[in-house]
Amino acid sequence: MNRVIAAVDNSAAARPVLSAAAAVGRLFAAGLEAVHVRERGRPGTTTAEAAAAAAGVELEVLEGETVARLIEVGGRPDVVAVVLGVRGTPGGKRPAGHVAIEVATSVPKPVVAVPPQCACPVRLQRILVPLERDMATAAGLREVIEAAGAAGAEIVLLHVFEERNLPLFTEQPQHEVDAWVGEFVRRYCHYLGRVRVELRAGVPAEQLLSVAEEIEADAVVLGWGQRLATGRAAVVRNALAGSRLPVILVPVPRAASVVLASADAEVRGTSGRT
Amino acid sequence: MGARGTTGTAYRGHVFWDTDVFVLPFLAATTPDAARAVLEYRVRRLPAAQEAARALDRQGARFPWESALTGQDVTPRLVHDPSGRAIEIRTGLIEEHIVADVAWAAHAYLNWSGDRAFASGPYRSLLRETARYWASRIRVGPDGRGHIFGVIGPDEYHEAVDDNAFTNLMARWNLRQAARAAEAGAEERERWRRLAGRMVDNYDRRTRLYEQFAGFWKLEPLVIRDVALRRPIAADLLLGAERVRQSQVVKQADVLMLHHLIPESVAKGSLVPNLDFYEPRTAHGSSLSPGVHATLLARAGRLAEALETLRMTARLDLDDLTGTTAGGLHLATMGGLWQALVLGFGGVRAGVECLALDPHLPPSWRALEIPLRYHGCQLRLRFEPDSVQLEAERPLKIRLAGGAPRRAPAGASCYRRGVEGWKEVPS
Repeated sequence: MNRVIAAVDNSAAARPVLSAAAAVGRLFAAGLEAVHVRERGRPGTTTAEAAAAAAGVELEVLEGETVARLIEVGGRPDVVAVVLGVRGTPGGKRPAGHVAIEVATSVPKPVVAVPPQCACPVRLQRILVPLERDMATAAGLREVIEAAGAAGAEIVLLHVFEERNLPLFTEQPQHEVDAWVGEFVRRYCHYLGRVRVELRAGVPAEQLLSVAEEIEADAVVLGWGQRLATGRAAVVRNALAGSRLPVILVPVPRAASVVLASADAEVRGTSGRT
Repeated sequence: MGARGTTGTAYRGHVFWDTDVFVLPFLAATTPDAARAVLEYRVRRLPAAQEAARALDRQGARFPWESALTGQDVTPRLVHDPSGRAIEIRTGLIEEHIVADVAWAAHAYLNWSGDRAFASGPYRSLLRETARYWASRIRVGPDGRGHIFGVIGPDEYHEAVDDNAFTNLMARWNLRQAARAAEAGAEERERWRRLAGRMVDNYDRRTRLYEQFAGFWKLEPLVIRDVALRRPIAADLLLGAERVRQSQVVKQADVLMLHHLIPESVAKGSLVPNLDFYEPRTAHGSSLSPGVHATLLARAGRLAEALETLRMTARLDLDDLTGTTAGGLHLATMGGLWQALVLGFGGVRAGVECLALDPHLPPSWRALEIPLRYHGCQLRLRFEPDSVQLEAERPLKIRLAGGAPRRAPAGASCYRRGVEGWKEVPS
């Protein structure tokens, strides 16, 4: 059976990580297993063990360097996702602690970053998926979106128009929005049929968190290229730094980074003068 | 004919001014039977339009902003715009220039077709009912002038404005046309004539500018050409709807639509100053806008700009610039493209008496050929940089570049531009 791994440490994130992992397991129709890596010279397993026991989850304790061992676990063929704490305490490192960053950028599977103050519901019922106008990202997210849909979660797509790719025309908004949304879904998520789409204009990184709060999402799904170098993946950085919800990071082949709008709207043949 | 015709389901097949003002001229000049059918759609919905006027305690006929089967207004009232903002849609309530647009379409058809049966029948009824609507809608103020308060003009960034120049002057045109030709008594026609003469037109003789609506000059003087990275642009999303509302950013040709539709009814010499003023302030946030500007830029002789705008108009659906072409082709944009070629670059204008030609060809064009049908006569025009060739089924009256009307023979004829104007030369 496929498994979701809850990577727990001896921090305040242990319990929310286990709760979120249970919900993610239901989402992916996978079993749940907890893992704790005990590094030499570090304290034992007290918090991790207690949290796992309280959650009724079997805990596998590994020895060695934390990041390396978690990457190794994440690579196991039956593991479908790794769930870990984004930082140890609410006031901890931004956008995320080094373990979260290194695991997320290395494991070629969904990695779920859980903030320590997250109060994760038993089931993830509403999932916000920002989507750019980019086939690669849309295709890369399909498996996760379909799994979530099959688990009964409501998928809400978010598209944010940035200044560089604002629509050329507003036309008659009472029709244009429907026409645009219909075409957007047909192109990038045709397998979803009817789906709720939220449109916004502004800075994607800011809009994501505010829309997540506004629609009362239970989790956010982000496709990304697993690169967090300076100047890249602003949306992922901002989500990791500020989200109070689990952030499901899905590696997307060929996607340079998560930007919520692509260059395909760069208008060919137009200029400052008309 | 809906906004997307039968090419897609977007806009729910609803009929807008797109059909009357942008598509109909093409049909009238090429397939007049189709144009007549389009007008018949409006004629058959006169009772619904009369009922809509009565419901507002007005007279005549008030055609709806969005029309479908019954002719009652079917404009949705609420929508979430692309910024997520819930907005009330007020076009169905107050974008009333559609009333005059329908009358204008009937007149345009008549100019192209010379259809006498239409002229003596439905045309007169349409003029009468639309004029009666305006007569009951216009308020004569203490200043003795005729005002129309609380409307939306073609520039839908600014709602509920007073004395929108486009609406006022189209209403004035409608009243005057009805005074000439409508099926009505002499007294009523005289009332229309007098009321038309009172209409506020917002024209400033000193600057030769029309103020788009009362108070427009006092708005923030924001020039969208300078502010936006590119145009066309949905300026309401770029700057926010409220900021745009408080500024001089214009969605689409508004004052300039007057120069496009009723050039004989605007102040002489006002095209260039208004083009200079309004074009840089226009976001072209409607796909109807570029084609109109291409037409006017060509007429003003600004051919490089006209050509650039024409290209964008032509590529709207080819490049899916709206992201919604799969929902249907933008028929009004296509109509605007045809108008830019024929009315703009060709300078063709159909009148009851003669066909006016005033070509402005870009230097890069070797020739522009246009097939047309004028007063039942099939003809082909070929414009070259300094000549016009005409091939007509039968003799017809033409006027070249504002000169005196002349009789063009049946068959082929050729006219060449010289220092003393246009002269017929052996074809």
